[in-house]
Amino acid sequence: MESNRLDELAARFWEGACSEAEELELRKELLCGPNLAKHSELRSYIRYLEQQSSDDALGDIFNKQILQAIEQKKEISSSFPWMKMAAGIALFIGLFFTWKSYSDSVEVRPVLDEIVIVDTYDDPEVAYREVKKALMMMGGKMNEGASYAGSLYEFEKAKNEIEKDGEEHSDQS
Amino acid sequence: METAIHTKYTFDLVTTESFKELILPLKNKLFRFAFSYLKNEDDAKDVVQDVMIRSWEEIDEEKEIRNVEAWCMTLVKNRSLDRLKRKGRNYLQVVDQRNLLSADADPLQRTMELENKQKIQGIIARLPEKQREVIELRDMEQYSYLEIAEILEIELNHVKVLLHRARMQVRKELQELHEYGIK
Repeated sequence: MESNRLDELAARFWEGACSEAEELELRKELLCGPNLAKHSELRSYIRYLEQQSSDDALGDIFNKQILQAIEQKKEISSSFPWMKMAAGIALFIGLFFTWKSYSDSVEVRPVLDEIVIVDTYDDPEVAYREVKKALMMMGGKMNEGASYAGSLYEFEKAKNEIEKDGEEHSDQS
Repeated sequence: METAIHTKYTFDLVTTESFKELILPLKNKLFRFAFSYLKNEDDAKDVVQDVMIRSWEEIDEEKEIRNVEAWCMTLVKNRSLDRLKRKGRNYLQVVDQRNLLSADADPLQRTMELENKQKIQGIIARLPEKQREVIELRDMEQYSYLEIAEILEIELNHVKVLLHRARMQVRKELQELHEYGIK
């Protein structure tokens, strides 16, 4: 590179006015070209930058650590869908058994009731006799009630007559 | 040299191989950027590890990231600043003491390189925060102005102004060092 060009690029570099291509050109010239005293500070600066940027500060141990951490994260995240599925299945089974036990209890009750109410007597004649007996008992009780009602009617009639006589006497006096 | 990633990425499945290909090569850039704030290797390493795992998770969840590298650098910046805030440390006062020089250099060259490195680090560390961020991203990591604007979440013209001021200051201090041996 010509000296004038180098001077111009160096000046532009310090002013922050170089394009990216110009900066690359300048870096290359300062690192590989002749060592000129007038650009010694820029050369030392560029050398420092190159050393720093080419340094593998973290090395292979860091790579192993970070990859291990990534693998662990991957295992955890890949086991999540299975855990979700297992939880879903467990919930479904739980709901199914809850529903089943409820529906069983609802269905069993009328059957038991029917057993208690229906089919008390297997023989129709025995059933007929039992029904007749029950109706006779009801008839007897109703007759007893009717005789009580008759005496109450007589009592009511006598009471009304007494009241009627009492009213007539008070009108005359 | 590590290359910038400009492509728009959405992944159906992010494997360990694609992590190695896309995110792992950024580790040294991320580390240097984190270290420029934290000045502590372990802290910087923790931040880089966090950011790399986070970026992998984001991509794995098929979130659309326009520029993975710039996005990672922004995360590193934010996490480093958060960490500094939590610890109440001032990153400007500390200079990198890591010996990262070439092992095959002779003792005299190593000594000179170390001295040069420490001087330049000191100059950069004394710059105002925004100027330091811009000069590190441009000169060290060779990001474009647009990428720097994206990473630092500032205007493009502001990037150019900050870079100009930062380089002028570096030049001035380097000239003083070379001419008078002060600082």
